[in-house]
Amino acid sequence: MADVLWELKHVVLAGDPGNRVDGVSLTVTDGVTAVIGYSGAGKTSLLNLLAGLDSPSSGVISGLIERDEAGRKKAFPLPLYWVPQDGGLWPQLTIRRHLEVVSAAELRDPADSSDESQELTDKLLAQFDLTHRQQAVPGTLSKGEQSRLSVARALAANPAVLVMDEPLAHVDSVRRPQYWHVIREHLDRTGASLVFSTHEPEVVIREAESVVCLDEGRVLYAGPTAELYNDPPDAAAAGFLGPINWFEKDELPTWLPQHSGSENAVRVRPEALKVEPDENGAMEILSFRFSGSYAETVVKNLKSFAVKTIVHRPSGKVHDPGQRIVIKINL
Amino acid sequence: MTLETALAWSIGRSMLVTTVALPMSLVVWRLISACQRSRRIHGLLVIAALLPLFVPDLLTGFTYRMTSARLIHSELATEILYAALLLFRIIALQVAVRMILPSSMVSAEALYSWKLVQDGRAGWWLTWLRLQVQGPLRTPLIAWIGGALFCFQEFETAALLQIDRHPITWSVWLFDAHAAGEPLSRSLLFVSEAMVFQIVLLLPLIILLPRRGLQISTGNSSVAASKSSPAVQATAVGVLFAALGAFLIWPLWANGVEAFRGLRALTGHSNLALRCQQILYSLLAATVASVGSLQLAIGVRAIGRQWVTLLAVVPGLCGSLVVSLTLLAVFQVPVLHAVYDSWLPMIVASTLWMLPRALLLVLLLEVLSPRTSIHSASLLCVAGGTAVVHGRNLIWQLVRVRWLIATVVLAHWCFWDVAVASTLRPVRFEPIVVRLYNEMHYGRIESLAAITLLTLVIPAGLICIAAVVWKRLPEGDKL
Repeated sequence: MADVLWELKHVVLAGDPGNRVDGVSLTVTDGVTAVIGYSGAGKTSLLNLLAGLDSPSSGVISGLIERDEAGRKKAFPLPLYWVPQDGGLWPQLTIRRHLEVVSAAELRDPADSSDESQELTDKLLAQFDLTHRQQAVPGTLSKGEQSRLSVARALAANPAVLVMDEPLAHVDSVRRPQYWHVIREHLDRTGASLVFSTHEPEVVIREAESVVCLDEGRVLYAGPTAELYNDPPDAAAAGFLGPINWFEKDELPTWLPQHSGSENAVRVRPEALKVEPDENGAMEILSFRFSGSYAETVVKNLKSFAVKTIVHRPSGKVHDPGQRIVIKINL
Repeated sequence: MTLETALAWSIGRSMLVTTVALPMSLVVWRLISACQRSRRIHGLLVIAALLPLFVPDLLTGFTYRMTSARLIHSELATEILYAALLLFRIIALQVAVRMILPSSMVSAEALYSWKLVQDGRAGWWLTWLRLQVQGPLRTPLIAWIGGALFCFQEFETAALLQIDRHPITWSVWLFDAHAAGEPLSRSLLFVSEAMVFQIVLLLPLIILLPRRGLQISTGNSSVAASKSSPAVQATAVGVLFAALGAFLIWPLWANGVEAFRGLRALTGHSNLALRCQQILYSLLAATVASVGSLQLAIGVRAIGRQWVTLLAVVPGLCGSLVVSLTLLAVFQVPVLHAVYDSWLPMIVASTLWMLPRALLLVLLLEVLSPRTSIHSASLLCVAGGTAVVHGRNLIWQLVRVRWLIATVVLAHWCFWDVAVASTLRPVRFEPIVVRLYNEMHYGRIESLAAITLLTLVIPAGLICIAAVVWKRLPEGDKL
């Protein structure tokens, strides 16, 4: 069974106007947990509470911080380190010094040789493409470089738990997967846990075992990422991990007659929905819009004249308005 | 001469000086912004630019008193001397304003977007004007008003330069009238006349000041980034060198030798212990006032209500002379009679006078030491090994040393203010600046220069000791 990192009970963080975190009860366990939500949903507030920057206005957060005062895991020099949204960098220190200072947590004795620390610093500088800027101070860095430095510093600290608020948010999308790979490798090697916030469903799906969906300071969903992806409890929660086709029970005879016997609504992600040309099909394409990874197609049922937008992976055959089709689920 | 004449001179001078200072502060700020890549050069330029704000007015007046005496036959020359000294201070102030104010709330794109829908109607022009005032004109306007207020309130330098009648200022006129026995009620009436001009300046200042805190200018704005011509850069360098010469090099040259000679003569002098006592007590009062004003500023910031902030800053913005004369009247009401002849009125007046500056420093510290950076350092303190030492050092650099500097800066300004000290001091205690101010009117003698040097050196030494002690204190609550 996974270790509990934090247990939140009816936690409120007051804000102006309204509560930034509004009565959240939640258990965060070992592993990688993503916090996802729209802008202003309370992601940063929740992470600031977990990282100990803010204290709840009411409710209780138990777990990591208090437990680690006495019982920190021996393998880790620090119980927790973080990547705040603004980087939380130290304006007077160079990039290199940022990493050296936190990696010193590894050294029990100040008189120890710091070769290991230097080696780690060099490696992280190279991995985050900061070697050529190592003598620069944060004020002279671009937003992307600041983001990378903040993540590199957190890895150099080697804590038991990493809290990252939209890590690599300002980094160009081409290099972002490369830096996520470094984070993943670190977690695999050290066994550390990660709690991070993001706006990107694909990062959650790729990186996180668990996900917490927030909306207006409240938890809409907390549980395994795979479950939210494949079997979401409702359309609102499902939408956090990207587009989904949601067919209510009474819509099934219209759109998916082969599943009309189902007792529940049918939820299908784009890659599981097949749109096939069929001259005798009961549906017709009204419009088609391709957006790279999936297509949005507006279809009309020729019997009931009902219209619905579906999202699916285009097969390459079906494109034209007026074309007759059938919809199938890829099992 | 009437107060009205003195007011007219002061208003005219303050408007002229702050207007002349405006373009000069712009070129200095551009030079500083252009040198951000080199931290050392940037730091030196900032120090040189802001130095005149930290040299006590009393010392400047003392240094240039003899020059003023030599110019006694030319009223114009005396006025120019005083205006030039003010000019460097106002340039420093305006550079500081440009450095700490957030970049324009209205972007160039927003202005252009409004231009695209121009219809030539009065409403369009009104909005255009409003966008200009909230946008590109806001910082120069605040700098101009701040400079005018600062000039208008200046007292110590004018008092010491005034050998005959010039420079004519309302502050010296009022101070002298009050010292000569003018009833307090009449002094307050005079104060109210001076307040009219200050309120005219304060109202737009309050409207223009940003609601959402400050930021340190990164110099990335289009104005800062645009490359200045060599002539403009040379002007900026010339202004900085002139300021350094006028406020550091010449005062050291003119007073240094005398002061060191005087120190030898002072050894064993009967009054030395008394003067040291005056310095220490004055420093204590100034420190209490500065800590008080900082704590009040933190409280005002925590409350976060605009009207509370206004109430807190308006008295201080009216200047130390206005604050001290008003509090003199307040502490004469029967219910406060018990504390009239105590340290309290002096400390309260200094606290109120410093409150706007304290609030500014608190806002600056919020920008310079973000909570997230401090928390990033404090997370290291639960580690083992050298990380704890690094974490504590970082917290010292990010928090404690900055609060210490803020306290020292405020205490420095309180310590050297003559108006509050001479008006509200307890009867049996003479603050050192009052003693210096009085003696500086009667010529230059070596012992006076030596006492002035001690007044500078003793607090500096004590501050260094305080810094060392504070650094060694165990990790306490975060400020």
